[in-house]
Amino acid sequence: MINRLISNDMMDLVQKSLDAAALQHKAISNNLANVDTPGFKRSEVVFREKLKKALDAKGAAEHELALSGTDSKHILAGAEAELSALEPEVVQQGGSYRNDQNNVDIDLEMAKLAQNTVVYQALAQLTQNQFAEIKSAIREGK
Amino acid sequence: MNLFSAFEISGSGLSAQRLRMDTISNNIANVNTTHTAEGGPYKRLRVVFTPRQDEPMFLLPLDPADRGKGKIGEGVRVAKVVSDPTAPKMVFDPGHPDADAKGYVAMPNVNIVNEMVDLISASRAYEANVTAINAAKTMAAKALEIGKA
Repeated sequence: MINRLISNDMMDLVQKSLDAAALQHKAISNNLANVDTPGFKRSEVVFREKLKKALDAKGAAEHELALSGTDSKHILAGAEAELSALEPEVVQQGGSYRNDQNNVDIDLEMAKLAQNTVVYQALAQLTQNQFAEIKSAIREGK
Repeated sequence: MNLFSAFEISGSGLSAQRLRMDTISNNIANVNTTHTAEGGPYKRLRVVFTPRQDEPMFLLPLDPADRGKGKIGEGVRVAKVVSDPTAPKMVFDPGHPDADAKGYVAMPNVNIVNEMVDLISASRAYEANVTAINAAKTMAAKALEIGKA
């Protein structure tokens, strides 16, 4: 019972998104560290698009018969499987408008850095609130 | 996934840019050095950056462009410090102790304007890395708050 409280679908997704945001921060830091490295190509984490696709697929499959997984040992199929197998993907961007064949744009990276920090903080806050709710339930709302 | 490796990545950027700044400072300090241990005028030094990638040995024979696919690098490192092969500036100064038979002195191939521009670029890149570290710090502090609820 307590397991169901602590790990539900939403919490899993928030945790995955937190991991993806941490990975995105790593990618941005690496791009910034290599801002003057000739021939370096920037990398980026693709997660939000994949998450949206998986959620859409799940919404569409709502009215179909699906294999439901109630245990970690169950084999999943369809939209449910897509959601649980969701992993952030690192992609490298080609092309360059600079003489040294480097394609890091410092303004873009700084903007993405600011955005990603806020996203991470929001997700962490969400997790914190979820735990606060459970705690409140344990204390009978006191 | 580990937020702390982000500190290392930005740290590698900081030390690389710091070394670049040191090299530029050294170039500026030696703008008039005509006498060196290896003979001839001082030669401008410059740093060469290369991405740092943690990778297994069995991937090494592959093309570098393919090796990095689907992975985030581990920051930057200074591959080497090379001296600029540009010819020295010849300045007519017959009274100089290092002047040749025709009265010309070989001055270092340091262009002070270029050095200043490089210095600003290095300093801005350094600041960008500092900002990334601060962002990582904010994120880590926020993640710590999850347990506090």
